[in-house]
Amino acid sequence: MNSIRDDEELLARLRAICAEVDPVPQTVYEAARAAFALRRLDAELADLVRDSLDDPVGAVTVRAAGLAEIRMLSFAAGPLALDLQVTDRAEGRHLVIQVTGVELRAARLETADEIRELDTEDGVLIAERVTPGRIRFVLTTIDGLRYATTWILV
Amino acid sequence: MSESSFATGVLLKQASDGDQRAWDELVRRYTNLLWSVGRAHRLDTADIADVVQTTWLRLLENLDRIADPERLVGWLVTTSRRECLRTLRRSGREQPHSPDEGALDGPAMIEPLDAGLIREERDAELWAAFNRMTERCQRLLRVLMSMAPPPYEAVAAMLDMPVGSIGPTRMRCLTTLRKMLNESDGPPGARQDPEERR
Repeated sequence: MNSIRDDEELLARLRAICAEVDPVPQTVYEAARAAFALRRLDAELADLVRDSLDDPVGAVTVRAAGLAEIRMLSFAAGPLALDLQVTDRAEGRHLVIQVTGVELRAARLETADEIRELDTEDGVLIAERVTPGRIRFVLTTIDGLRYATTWILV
Repeated sequence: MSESSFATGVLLKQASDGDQRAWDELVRRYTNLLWSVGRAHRLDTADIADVVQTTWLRLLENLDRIADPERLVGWLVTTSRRECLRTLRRSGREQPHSPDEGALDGPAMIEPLDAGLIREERDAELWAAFNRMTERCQRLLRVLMSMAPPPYEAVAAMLDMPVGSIGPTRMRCLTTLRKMLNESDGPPGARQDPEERR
């Protein structure tokens, strides 16, 4: 009584309704197309190798200790390791970055709406008041090598 | 294998060689699917936009590393699902790794979209019935509603269900939906939850 054709028809109706009540905003398509221009970044990709959001023990421990929730992420590429701590604050995300394995000449933070040069004087880099959304880091070593972390959402 | 997956492989290769039009075509084909993944995870519009864009940026980073273009759709769905879950956990709406499996069989928490846009009464009834379904059914059907219906392997990965159960669940959900529609046509009264528990 429940034929395959009936199922297909019902799904087709739902699909049509969906296109009306929940269309993908054109800006989403435009942003995705425009992203192609960012493709040729002459830098080695540093993959995300750990995110405490994926890691129940770390997250639970931090909460249990009654501290502010800190998200911890690690990226790696060749000799480079980048550890990132993200804390939520009223004024935006607070980022603490530690880079090991290479010596930095420059570091910048890229978000959806800004590019920010970070001070590499100390071993630890800080970025305050970061707008929630997507970010990545682009690093240049003293040897002139470039690394870019994969994009993440904070 | 199939013609469309072959074409996907060609598009990937062309995009990897710098062809913007090939990239645009990939975006045109699969953005709707990625959007439905976000919606199936109950994210709001701004969060879904972030997840979709991040997923495309990830693909750009990995254009030269996608070994098997046949699995591109699965890769896209898996990548966006992971970002959806992180977004939910970050906002405290879902605890890390405490999947309350049974909850999927309960009433859905998906926020109804603006049904005022639906002109036909018959469609409004269908949409209202859809919104009364269990979360499992809503998630599954929402993804199947996207313009580029994904392979069952990708749907299974998204819903944490075995591939073999997608077809039967789809049929069960659609049968339930049809029953709900028939009931709302009939006299009001003893309405019971027609959804079978798994």
